[in-house]
Amino acid sequence: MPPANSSKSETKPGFARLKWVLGAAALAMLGTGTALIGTGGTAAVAKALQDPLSLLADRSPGSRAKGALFSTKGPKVAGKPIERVLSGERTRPPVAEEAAPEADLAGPVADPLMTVAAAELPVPFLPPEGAPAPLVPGTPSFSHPGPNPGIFVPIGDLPPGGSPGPGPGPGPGPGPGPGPGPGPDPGTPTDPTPPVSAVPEPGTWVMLILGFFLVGGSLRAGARRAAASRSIA
Amino acid sequence: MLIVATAFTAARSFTGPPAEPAVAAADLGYDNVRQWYPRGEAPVLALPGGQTKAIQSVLNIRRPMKYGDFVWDEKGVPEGPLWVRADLDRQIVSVFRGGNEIGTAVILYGADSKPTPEGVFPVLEKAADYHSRTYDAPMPFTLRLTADGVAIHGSDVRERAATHGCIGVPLEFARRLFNQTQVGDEVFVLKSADT
Repeated sequence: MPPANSSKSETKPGFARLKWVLGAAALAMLGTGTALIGTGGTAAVAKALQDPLSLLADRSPGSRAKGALFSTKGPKVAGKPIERVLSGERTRPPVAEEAAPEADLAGPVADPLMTVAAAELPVPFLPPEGAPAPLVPGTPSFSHPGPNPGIFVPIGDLPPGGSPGPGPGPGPGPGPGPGPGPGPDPGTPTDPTPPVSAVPEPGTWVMLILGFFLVGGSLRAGARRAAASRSIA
Repeated sequence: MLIVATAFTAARSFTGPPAEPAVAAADLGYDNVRQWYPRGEAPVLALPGGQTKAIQSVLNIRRPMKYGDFVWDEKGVPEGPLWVRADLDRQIVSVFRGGNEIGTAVILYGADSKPTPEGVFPVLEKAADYHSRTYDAPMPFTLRLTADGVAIHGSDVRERAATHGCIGVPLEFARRLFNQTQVGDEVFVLKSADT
């Protein structure tokens, strides 16, 4: 019994005992896992005091996403990213070393031999049998992977002095020997039939236009004759 | 789930059901610390129906709970009027007794086609072993809220699931809430975006 409360304890002994019991219970409660908001002084505590809903927000799993009930995909797991083939997150390794020779090939003056050869190609050149694709005259085939670009050049049409070949492959030989080209017998060109071009030749155009003039002229002549006969009649 | 059995030996006058041992998910970081607000600084929650309730303490959970998790801790909480706050946007329910939070859980709520009504709903009926005739589904520990069948009941709380308007809570949480609740206790259903 504390001496300070001795006078009161004489009058109300039950009340003093209750106070002690309550004090001990409060101390035990503080010691066994209760804390007072505001004693910590942290920002979280201040936030909890100001907005009690913030504590509820901290424990929330988040709101239900729109369409969450219809999604058949699994839940997104936070952790290491999953590499997907077509995702936009894929990063390619730098290709500076690889791109340098290709840029030289594509450059206009990077390979003077190539451009000179392309410019000096004779116009009526023909691809051999089994050539991979029709080639537009004057454009070298840069996309051919092999050393042989696949363009058959008649040797006789070459300018004197010999022109370098159209590619890094074997140059023009002295005769119709084993020439370039993946054909079955590239050295002996058979009688080739020129492929029908999609664009008419100039002679065809001239003939067509002349035909129009002929038809128009005959119609006009017929009209003049009919007018003359009407005027007579 | 890790059941933390607490030695609750303080003298209490039991007018209601006996206190349940505290339950918390093992990975929640729930350190069994109740956050008491200082006396005189108790915040006031605005609730539907124009009501306000002062809060004395809340459970100290600082990590997001997962679907199916709940925390129940009524240690040191005196008797008092019980009310329930169900937050549909946060998918969280909180059970308060005398202004002290004694339980919280992740909930399911109604799908967009059958939304959960908002407002103040006194518990109309209690049914521990209820089986829905409408949906032919078991609804254990049902606390009926509306005449047309909206209730709080135990269900399998998992992600990407919803109800037909009821509020689904984990089964063990539903049992404890069922034992604490009496007919007439108020349930506040709201969306936190409105408050």
